[in-house]
Amino acid sequence: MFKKRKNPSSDKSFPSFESFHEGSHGKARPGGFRSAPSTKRLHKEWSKAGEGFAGFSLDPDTYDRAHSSRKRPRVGSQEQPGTSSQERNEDTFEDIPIEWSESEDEQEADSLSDIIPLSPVQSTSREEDNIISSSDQSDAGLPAQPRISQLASSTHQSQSESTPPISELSESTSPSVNASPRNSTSMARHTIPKVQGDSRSKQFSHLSRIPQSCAKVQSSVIQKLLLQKPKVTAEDVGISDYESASSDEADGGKAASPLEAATGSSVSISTPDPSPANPSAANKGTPKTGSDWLKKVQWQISSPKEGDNEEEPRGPLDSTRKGKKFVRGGLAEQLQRLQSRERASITFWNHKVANSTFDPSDQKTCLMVKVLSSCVECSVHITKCKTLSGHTLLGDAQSPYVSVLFNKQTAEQLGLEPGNTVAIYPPWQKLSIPGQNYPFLLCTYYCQTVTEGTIEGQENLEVEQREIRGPAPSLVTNLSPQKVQSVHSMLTSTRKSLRPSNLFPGTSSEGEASTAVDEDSAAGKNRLYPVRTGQDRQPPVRSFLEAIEGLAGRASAGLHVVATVQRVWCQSHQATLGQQALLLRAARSQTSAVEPTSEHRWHLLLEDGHGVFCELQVPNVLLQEEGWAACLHGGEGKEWVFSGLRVTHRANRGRMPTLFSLIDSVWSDSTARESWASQQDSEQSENTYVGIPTCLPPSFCYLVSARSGESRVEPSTDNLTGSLRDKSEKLEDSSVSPVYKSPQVVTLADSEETAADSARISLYVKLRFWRSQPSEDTSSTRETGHVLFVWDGSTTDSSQPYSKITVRQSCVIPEQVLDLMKQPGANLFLKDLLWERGRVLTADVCSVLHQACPEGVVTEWWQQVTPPDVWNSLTAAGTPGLQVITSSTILHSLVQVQGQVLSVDEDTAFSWPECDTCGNNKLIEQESSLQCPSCDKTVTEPLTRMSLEVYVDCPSLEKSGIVKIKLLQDSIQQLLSNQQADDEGYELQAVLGQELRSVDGYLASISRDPAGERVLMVEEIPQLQDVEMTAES
Amino acid sequence: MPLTDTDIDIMACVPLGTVAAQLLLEVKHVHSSNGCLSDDLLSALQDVFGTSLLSALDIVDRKGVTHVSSPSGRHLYLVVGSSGRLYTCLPSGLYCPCTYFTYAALMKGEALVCKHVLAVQLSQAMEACQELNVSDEELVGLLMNKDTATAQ
Repeated sequence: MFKKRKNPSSDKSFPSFESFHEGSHGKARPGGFRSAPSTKRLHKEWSKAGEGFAGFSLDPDTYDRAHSSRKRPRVGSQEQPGTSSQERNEDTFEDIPIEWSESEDEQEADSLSDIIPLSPVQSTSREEDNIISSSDQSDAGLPAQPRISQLASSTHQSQSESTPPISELSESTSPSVNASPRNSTSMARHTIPKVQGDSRSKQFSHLSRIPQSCAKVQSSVIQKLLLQKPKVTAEDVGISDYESASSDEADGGKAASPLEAATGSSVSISTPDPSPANPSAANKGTPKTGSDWLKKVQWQISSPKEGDNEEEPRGPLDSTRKGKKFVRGGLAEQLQRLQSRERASITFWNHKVANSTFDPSDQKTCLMVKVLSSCVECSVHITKCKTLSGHTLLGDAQSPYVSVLFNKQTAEQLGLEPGNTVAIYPPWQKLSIPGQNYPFLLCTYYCQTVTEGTIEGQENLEVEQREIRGPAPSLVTNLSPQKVQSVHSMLTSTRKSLRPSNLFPGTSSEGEASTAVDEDSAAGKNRLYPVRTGQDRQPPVRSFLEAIEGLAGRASAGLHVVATVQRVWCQSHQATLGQQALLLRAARSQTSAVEPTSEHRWHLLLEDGHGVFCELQVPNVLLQEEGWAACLHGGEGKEWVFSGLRVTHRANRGRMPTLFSLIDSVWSDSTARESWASQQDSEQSENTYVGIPTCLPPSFCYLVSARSGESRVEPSTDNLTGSLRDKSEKLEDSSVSPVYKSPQVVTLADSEETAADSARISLYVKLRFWRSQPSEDTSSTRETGHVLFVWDGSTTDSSQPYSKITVRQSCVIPEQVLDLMKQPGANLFLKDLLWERGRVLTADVCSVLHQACPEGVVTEWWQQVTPPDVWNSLTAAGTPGLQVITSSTILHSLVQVQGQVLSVDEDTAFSWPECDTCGNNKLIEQESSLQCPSCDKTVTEPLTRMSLEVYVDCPSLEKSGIVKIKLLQDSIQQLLSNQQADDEGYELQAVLGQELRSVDGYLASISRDPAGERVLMVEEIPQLQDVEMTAES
Repeated sequence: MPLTDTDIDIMACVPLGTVAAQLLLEVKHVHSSNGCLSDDLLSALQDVFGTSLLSALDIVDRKGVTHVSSPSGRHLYLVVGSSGRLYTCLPSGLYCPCTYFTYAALMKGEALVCKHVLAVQLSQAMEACQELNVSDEELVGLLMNKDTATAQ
């Protein structure tokens, strides 16, 4: 956090400082309070309230102590010279304690104006808190800071004597006088920095008393650490005393309940106390933004849980804290996100139950427990309960007993005490602990107290109305005796005898219990089970929007929807980096879960019953699960029930044009859809989510992700599809959803006549030749892809008998298709190619390369997507010949080359032996025989492979250049056919002047030789068997 | 009616430390098999450890826990606090010289552990500790520093 405190950010706060100062100048200062310093404070507490922290954290003393010495001179130096306010400021710095706080840019103006006038009540309570805390501290005799705490308490106490009259006065007078109590507080505070300074120097003197050798040693260790952690700069080390100061302060504040400190009264969860809004601010006409108000309300509802920990200095520091960035993709970030989700859903829940009583019909969906006993440890209420209903939610639990942990907030809200009956709604988490024959429930945030008599057939439980303080003695036997002894010597309280570290193996001698635990853990047993909402048992919804809204109150539950899989494609991770960086960032926490080897992720385009689309990402690991494998491999066009999906992002057209081009291709307002939607509407007339009007294409798309262990998929068994099927005559395939729009299969000739500027088309083609090539898109130099030359017999233009298709790297070509592509003339099905006017057909991320109608696997889906005429024309298509190379031949096209060999590139003329079994070309020569290391055998008849590039004079070029052609084995052998190889190889001179028969090639590049002549570099491509020599004739 | 042993057994509440220990084992298990922690697990940890967890995870993210060992076999953990200050935590894991631990964990019993001890535990569970070998003398120096920090 310290590296955040850069000059610019500090500077930003100064103008507001000054402006505030000027603003306050006009106010009457109460007599007798020389400085009226409270008006000078930049108090952030109420505006910070939204962050969920309060109380001691607001106490700026800490900050003042730590920073006043450093900040003040800088404040002074930042002032505009010559202004009167500056003079006043400097004046002020001499004798007025200014509580400096780092205000954040966006909050400066608001917070300054509306925070200054504290209402009297608040001021007073603040005073009291300080008193409590400081006296507590001194009572406790905290060894670390005896001098400070005593001093502080004495100052506060003396202050408290003088405070009441002031606050009385302030209550009855104008707002400007209201500030006076705080004035006195800050005067008290003013003395603290000096004390703190003493304390610090004491600390330093301690350090200086360390034997010199040790000090040296320590510094060397620290240096080592610094080397390991380069982020720690000298500046950070220099500030280190600051934290000690602040944590001291945190201790002081801890004694006071953060809640009380914050609001000055008890906090009511359901009816937030509006006092922080500070009516006096409104009286003064200072603007008050709605967001500030909202923050305060939210904070009141959600903060108590967090208020328990004062380790992190809050308040003034909180502004730095807020700016603090956690490590991107780190666990802290993950937790922070999780916290905000949970906070929101708890807020929703509290709102929901605030004014409602338990609905007996909920008994099936919640767990009802009777609290038998309860003890509080570390603000957590650990209860022992007997379950009354909802046993099924606990799974296979045998015991009727369960231990439920309620956090402080939930417990207070429930008024938790033994004898209560509590309804606990999912989600929660169930933890089983070895040696305990009942489960533990954690994260039980969604609870409601059940009043007597609302439950039918409630068991009459004999509950001993008593609280058990601390664990029963028998539990201590879980520890090994020596550990208990060692712990006991350190701590007097038995409660503290069970530290996680004690039980945690590897830290010290292991107890019996922990060993047993570890074995279980090693056996791969998960002991923590999330219990989701009862959603799974409820029928899934048919609308994404409805499902997403249903999530609002239940953060940890996933989407539970029925949707049609429109498309399935696979995407490689590296390729997503550029285009979908945003998406990746959102999903970073999940990608870290995927092992590095799986660089592919599956994507599904889902459509619900209302024409709303979702892109579902499925990590490769889920392919191991049967349901997902079925869905990914044969699920297209069918309806599936998805559960446990997480919404990660919302995309629009501008952000993800590729995805939307695909959505546009499958989106339609066909009659099937309309009947579908209207049926939905008539059945669920109360459903407000009728969906997007079917005449407009969707403008947004939710991105959702499936997670291992959470998300499931199963075929939809809904008979709604069946009833609709009767109406729809087109649908012969029983399993295909009426919403599904099969790929638009066209011929190559048709594709040229596509009316739209861009479209997604699918083709059945034969592959003539393919090779990898750098992307033509120069902006992304990293991306390489493939280029395919295909034909399907529909093109009549003999000048371009083959169509070129660019395959981007992001388009993942399946292994089996790659194998297939090794043979020229393979039949391929190219699904959802991107056609754009004037550009080459492209296979991008959303495109899929299939084997055309895999033999023996002719499924209904294939029948549906394969128009008979397209298929027939493909199978009947002959192999068109190529154009002879001319001076106007386009780069990266297929050509035919014929001519006289002019010369040979001797650098490229060589041959090598190859294993006749495995094709390994790295044979080892041993005792005049060749060994193949991969086959581990002697190669008796090695194949001779040859490489040769020759310069050919093609008559068709009409002397505008020469062709350098890289020949394949067959052509080389043909050229060399009329001479015998001797031991040294072939005589290259014999090749010169020979006529090269007509070969097909790929024009890879055009360059100029040193003499300035154009050289067309051609790579020979394999011949097809049934080549019709159309071009020649 | 006096309580029987069975009643006590049923009524007794398991200490929070037991739950915490089990959760840390869960962390170890989940992290070793998945390489990350699930939201559910974080949520459970949060429920037990409170707000220390966020800071502790930040320390873990920044690899702020260093396992220091010396040839004699003595070892301890150094945790980089949020200000860059180093806290020396003993391998027993029962103590941290920071004032929060003294106050909130030991005196008030408001928290199980401080963020530094929690960070040590989490780093151990996730095998995210940095390793540092020092001489015995250097280790003594660190321990001496710890003593001063404790005594002040």
